[in-house]
This record gives sequence, C-alpha cells and structure tokens, in this order.
Amino acid sequence: MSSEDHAMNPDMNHGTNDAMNDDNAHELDVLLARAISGDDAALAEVRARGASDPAVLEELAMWQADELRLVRVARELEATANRVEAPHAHPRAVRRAGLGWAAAAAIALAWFAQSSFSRNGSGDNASPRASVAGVSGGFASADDAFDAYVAKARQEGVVTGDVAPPTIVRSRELGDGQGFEVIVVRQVYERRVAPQVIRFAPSGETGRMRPVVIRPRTDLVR
Amino acid sequence: MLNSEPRRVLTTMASQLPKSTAPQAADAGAGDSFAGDVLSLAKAREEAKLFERAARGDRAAIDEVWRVNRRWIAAVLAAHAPRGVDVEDLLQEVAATLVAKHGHIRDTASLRGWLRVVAINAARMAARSKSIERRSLRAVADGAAQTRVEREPVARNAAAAADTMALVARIPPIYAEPLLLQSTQGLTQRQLATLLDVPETTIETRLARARRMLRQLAAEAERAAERTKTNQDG
Repeated sequence: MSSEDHAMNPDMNHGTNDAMNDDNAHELDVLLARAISGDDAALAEVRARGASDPAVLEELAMWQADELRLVRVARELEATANRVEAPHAHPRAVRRAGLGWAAAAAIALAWFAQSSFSRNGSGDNASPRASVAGVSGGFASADDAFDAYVAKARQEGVVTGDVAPPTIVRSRELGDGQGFEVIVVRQVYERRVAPQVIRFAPSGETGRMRPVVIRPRTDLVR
Repeated sequence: MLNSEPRRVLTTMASQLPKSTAPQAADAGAGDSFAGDVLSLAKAREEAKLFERAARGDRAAIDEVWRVNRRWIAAVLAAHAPRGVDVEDLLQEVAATLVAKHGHIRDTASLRGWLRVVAINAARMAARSKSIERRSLRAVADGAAQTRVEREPVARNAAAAADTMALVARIPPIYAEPLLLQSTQGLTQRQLATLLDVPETTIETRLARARRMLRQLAAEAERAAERTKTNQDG
C-alpha cells in the first residue's frame, strides 16, 4: 500500500470495519484497473472472483464501458494535437486567427476609448478622470468609480450580461498578521463598434506576421 | 445472479480489450515520444542527433520533436485545464514555448519533464486568468468541422468525447493526468512513474482511484439522465 493511500484515508490504520471495507474496495479497484489496462493475470483473478460474485464481472463491464468512452476522448485529443504545428514566426508575433481578432479588437477599443475621452474629457493631466464610458468623477473610492462605470456602461448598452467577479492571479501572505496581498484581474465584456479592425496575417516569403487593416464592406446585406 | 452465458460474454470482452486502447498515430512516421522507450543503440544515436539539431535551432528538428510529443502533452493539458478552456490554444502556447526555448532539448527524459511542467503551468494560468476564449471540446470539433464544406459524423464523436471530458474535468488533476495518459496514450505504469516522478505503486493507486471516480461520476450522470427522461415522459 503506498503512502498516498494512508494520506488519503487517515482512518485506514485504525482497523475499523469501515476501514477494512475501504481496503477491500480499493484492492478490488486496483485489480480491475490492472485488468482494464491489459494485465492478463489480473483479468484471470477477476474472472475467478466473478465465478462466486457476479457483481465483480458487472463492475468490470462498466469499467470497460468507461475505457471505451476514454477512447473517444483519445481520438479527439489526437485530432486536436495533430492540428497544432510548432510556430514558424517569432513566438511573440504568433496569433491564431481567433486571438488575432482579439488583439485587433483591443486596438480598436483603445482607439475608440481614446476618441470618447477626447470628446468627453478635458484632457487635463493634473486631474485625470475615469471617463471611458463618459462617467463624471468625484468618487469616494476606485471601487465606487468602477461600479458607476459598470452601471453607466449597462445603460449605454456597452456592457451586456454579467460582469465576472475578480479573478485571483496570485496571492502572498504579508506576515505579522497583516493579511494577504491578492493580485486580481477584473474582466468586463464590452460591445463596441469600430470603424475598422486590424488583423495579423502572414505575408511575404518569410511568412512574418504583419498587421493588415480591414475595412467594412459596403455590400453586406442583413 | 447472472447466468453463465452473460458471464462468459463479459469476460470474453475483457480478454479481447487490447492492452492499450490508445489510437495509433494518425501521421505515420511522426512517431510517438514513448514508443520503444528501450531504444536500440542505432535508434538512440538517431534520437540524440535529432535533439542536438533541435537544441541548435534546426527548425525541421524542432518540428519533429514537437510532433513526437504533442499528443501526450494534449492529454496532460486536458487533465489540468479547467472545463471549457481550449486545449488547442494551450497546445499552441506550449509549442511556442518549445520553439522559443529549444535550448532545453537535450535528452528525452529532461525534455518530457520540462514539457510537462510547461503544459501544467499553461493550464494553471488559463484557469487563473480566464482570458483564453472558453470553448469546449465539442466546439473545437465543431470549429474544425466548420472549416470543411460539409459537417462530418466526426462531430458526433466530439460530442461524446466532450461529455466524457466533462466528467474527467471533475476528477482532481493528480488522478486525471495518469488516467488520460494511460487511456489515451497507452503509457505503462512504469512510464507514468518516470514521467510524473512518483513510485509505480503510487501510480497504481492513482489509476485505481481515477477509474473509480470516473465510474461514480458516469453513474451519477446516467441516473440524472434517467430522472430527466422520466420527468419529461411523466
């Protein structure tokens, strides 16, 4: 029995009936797992036990069905893996089409936000305002400003759906009972309309990724 | 109590189950990182030359090293990535890291250990940041199918695989990883013990626990489906 078994089952050493049953159940699981993985001796043991306890054979059949489920997973993982080739451009310049659109959308959003700021804000660096959504200043805290931004952005239809709670990126204990420093990332899905977008596409003989400006079609019929 | 005929059928099925149910490599010649771990001298020299070339930055060699290892890395990612995170995206990250840090390619053992750490870190970052586009295995297959002119029956397999992966995602990675590596890549307990750097007895325990958990989760899902069906019919 490995040390992990004892760690996972601290009652194992106490010799109670429950602990003994757990031991027996685990021993059967190990036997079944060996049989499923192709161990002929284990399979013979399972068959021998099944002669007096048909439930063991039933269990083997169900584990076999689970193994066949995993075969399907294997096919999908193989198909997924075979689609991914090592990138030829510099890794930092590599983008999949999907992520390239995300990068382009980020650039367009930054442009749009800058435009909004120049319309709504005074651009006074001495007293910067959080006015991405045209919300005025004078908040007691950054959290109040954020909540007000979300509320205003919902009104304008910029934010739709739920705003995900902050996601913890990392944390560390500060010591001396001061608590923990937690680094979080807030993500808000915004809907924006951009006049054009930029996509990264390979070009030239080297296939180097370069930005390409995409302008809207005028013949798109909805 | 089962009569003797079904018992014979069950044990016959079990004896016919191949030692490894992992599918054969689709691209012949790409090889498999774990195939023939006990290498002949000639093969060992060949592999050493490949690694030398890859470590020096030879693109063809790096590509070959990636192709040989990508399938088992996909299994590691699937075990550690949270549900809904795109394994294909994470594979791209790992591939990019391999290209950027090809100097790590020295020998098989150190390469596998390093790639596994890179893959696990990528999966954990995905779980923390949640900034990667959330797509299930089903959507990955759908996306691949949509690039074709017509949808193929492969989407059905993808849907079934996605259901199973949803169950596997509920198993702690410490158990899910050896399970997927054994079932999808055909790794032996010895190979798993070397890769995960734990004793073989620990691997045996983890595999047994993983399969027991999968069985329990599958049984719960079956019961839930039955209840839903009963409610709908009633």
